[in-house]
Amino acid sequence: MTDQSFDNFFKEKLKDHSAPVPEGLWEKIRPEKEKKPMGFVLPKHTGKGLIVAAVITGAIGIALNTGKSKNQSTESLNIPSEPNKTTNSLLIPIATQKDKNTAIYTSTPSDKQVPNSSTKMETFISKRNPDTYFISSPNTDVSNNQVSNTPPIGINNTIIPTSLENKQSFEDQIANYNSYHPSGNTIGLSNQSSFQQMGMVNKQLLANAHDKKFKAIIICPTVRGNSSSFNTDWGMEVYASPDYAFKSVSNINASAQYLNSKDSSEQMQVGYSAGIRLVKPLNDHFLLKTGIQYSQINQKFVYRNENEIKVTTVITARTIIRSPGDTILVSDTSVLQTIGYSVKNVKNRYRSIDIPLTLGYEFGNDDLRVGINAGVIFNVSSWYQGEMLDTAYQPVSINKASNSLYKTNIGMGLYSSISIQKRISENTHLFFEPYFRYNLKNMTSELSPYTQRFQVGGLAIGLRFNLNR
Amino acid sequence: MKRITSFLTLALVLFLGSCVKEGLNDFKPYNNNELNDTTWVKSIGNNANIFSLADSLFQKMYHVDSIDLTKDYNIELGDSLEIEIKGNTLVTETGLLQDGKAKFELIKILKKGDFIKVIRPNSSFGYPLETGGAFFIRITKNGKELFLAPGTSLKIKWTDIDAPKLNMQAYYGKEGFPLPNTVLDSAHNWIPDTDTSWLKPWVKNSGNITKRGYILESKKLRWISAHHVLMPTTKLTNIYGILPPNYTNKNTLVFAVFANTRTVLSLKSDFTSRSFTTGNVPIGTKMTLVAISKIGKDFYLGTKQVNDVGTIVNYSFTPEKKNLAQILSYLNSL
Repeated sequence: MTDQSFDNFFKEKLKDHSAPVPEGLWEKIRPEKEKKPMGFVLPKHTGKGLIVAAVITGAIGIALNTGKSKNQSTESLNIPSEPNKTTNSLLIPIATQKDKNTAIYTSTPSDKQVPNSSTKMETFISKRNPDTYFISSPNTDVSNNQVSNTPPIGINNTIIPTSLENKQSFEDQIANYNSYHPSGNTIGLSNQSSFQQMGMVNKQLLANAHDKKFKAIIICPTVRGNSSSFNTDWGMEVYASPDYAFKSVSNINASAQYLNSKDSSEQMQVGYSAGIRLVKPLNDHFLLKTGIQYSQINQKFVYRNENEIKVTTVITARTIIRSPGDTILVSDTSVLQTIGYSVKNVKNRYRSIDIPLTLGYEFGNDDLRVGINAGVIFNVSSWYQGEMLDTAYQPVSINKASNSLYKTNIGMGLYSSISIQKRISENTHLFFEPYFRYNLKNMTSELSPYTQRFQVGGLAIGLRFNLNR
Repeated sequence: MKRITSFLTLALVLFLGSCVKEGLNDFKPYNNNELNDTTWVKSIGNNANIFSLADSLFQKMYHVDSIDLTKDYNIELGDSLEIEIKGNTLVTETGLLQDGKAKFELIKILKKGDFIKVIRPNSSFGYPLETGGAFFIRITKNGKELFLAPGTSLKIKWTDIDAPKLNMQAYYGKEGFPLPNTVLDSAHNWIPDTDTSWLKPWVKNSGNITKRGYILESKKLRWISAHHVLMPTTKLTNIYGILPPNYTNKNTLVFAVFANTRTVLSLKSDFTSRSFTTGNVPIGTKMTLVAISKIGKDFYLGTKQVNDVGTIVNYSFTPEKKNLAQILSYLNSL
């Protein structure tokens, strides 16, 4: 009996075998997921220690990884394989009794291996705690002739990414190795043919495993192979916001009385903004946003026009006597003048189209995330409509066509916000983003006898869609 | 998801709803402005605007002179007016003869507009008169008004602007008692002299210019005039001037200025019909209705040409805002 027939014998016998799932396993896992803290909140006992260890080891790992060539330091959890050559594999959970909170899954080939076909093994990631991942066989195009008798890998309190992308060097070697892991904190490799080569490879694998252990903690694994720190997701945000603008006016050569009159005639009101943004996550925390938005600042112009005469047409009927005994009824239409004051209410609109560009930092979990954003906002165009007091204290119209007081472009402003987003479906988040926009330049032109600018605060409410799913 | 949709819909509605009140002009009338006072009164108080209006029109254009009470005095105003006052004819209210110097004041009223300015319409007991001119003569000593002694008179000879009529009589203006402080006297009435003889017209040719007028022997001072009663060949009727509600009997005076005779009638306010009316107007009379108002500090002038008295007796017209000079200028043109 050759090695191959021996293998086939066991495969044939064990192909329908399945290990039972221990009772209570899922019940132990689910509460852990539910209790999972968000953001920087760490478990009392392990959180701080893990984060400190992660930072230190991550720094070391990054430092080590920096010196390696790209070919040597790549990792991937998903290596696409040709569709017609893939077969499903079973995930066999193996529960250890050492730690009740530990669930370890590994994959074993379930089907007979077909020549010239590869087996794509699914990846299952179970979070034991927020900072610890168990990953089993994420990779692995295993050739038919390179059946690995790899025993199940059970690792407690560690992360063992077994995907190795260094295929060219590793695929030739993997046939000669059976990696095993006898203890929780070590990785052992046995070489059936050449212990000399195995020693070298073992050293390299240990180094790789060491590096990847910390990288997996610090940086979220990505679907792209060569850059572990770059997130390929794209998102889109659609939002609308009630705004309130704060007006600041300073005098140049206008009279104080005029400015007082102007100020008293103008009352800021709630405006709004609406826009659409593209969101580019740089990694799990940092993200860039840019898009286009329309904003409208509303202002109530109230002007009291004194001594205004209102004319009302009235019809009166009266009895007149043409001569004694000759009485007639006369109907007369005339106008009644009423003097008073009128209060003129005009809504001034200060409209603009802007391009925001912000950098954000977000943290939290998939359900609820909190972020802070800061950036700049470039004005594309601004135009105005309404009425205002001129220096003769008379209302004059301002509009897009005839306006010498206000600029059509107010330049750049600063933007900052805090966002809170809640997942409402698999690909959609609802977010609330209170923000403040500080315009750096005045909106008034040089002809204006005063300077004026608006600072805007608002609450953007919108939806974020994941474009990659 | 439904909640989110509802929330966004509500937000949209709120945004759109914020546009509702745009551009509204909320008019609020002044509470104490006279223009907004459209009420009529049965009895006009002394503080009504028509009194100040009358004083504004009156202008107090007196010719003032000084006379010696013991000497005959002849006052000439150019060549259009001569007044002869004999000495020792002026007494006090109690009949005491006065001597020394006295203040002589004269107003000549010839044109129809002049009768409006002094608010002395040409009517007697409600009937229209045609005038040949009128005068206001006042002589005072030490601020006290003097009177002609019984049986004495003063002679007024004036050049009229129209051809003298033969049937002119002397009329004296009846005034209220006590004398009102303003020129507007609701008791005014032209009373014919007991001497109903006609006034003597005179004609004087000076080169190419012919001057004509009347000579009136007046037994009284103050309001003196030459009038005769119009004797129409047609029936008489009432006429009504109807003005917008802003023009009430507190602020408006209305006159009817006849076109073909030198006659000005005052249209009294009629509380019942909220209009201004006068009676005994001959049917077919051509006239101009003139309304002068003072509302607040603003003056208004309204005119209405009437050519068909009788067919229609009620005339509606609307005064327009004018300044006092414009109104006086118009009155001088009548």
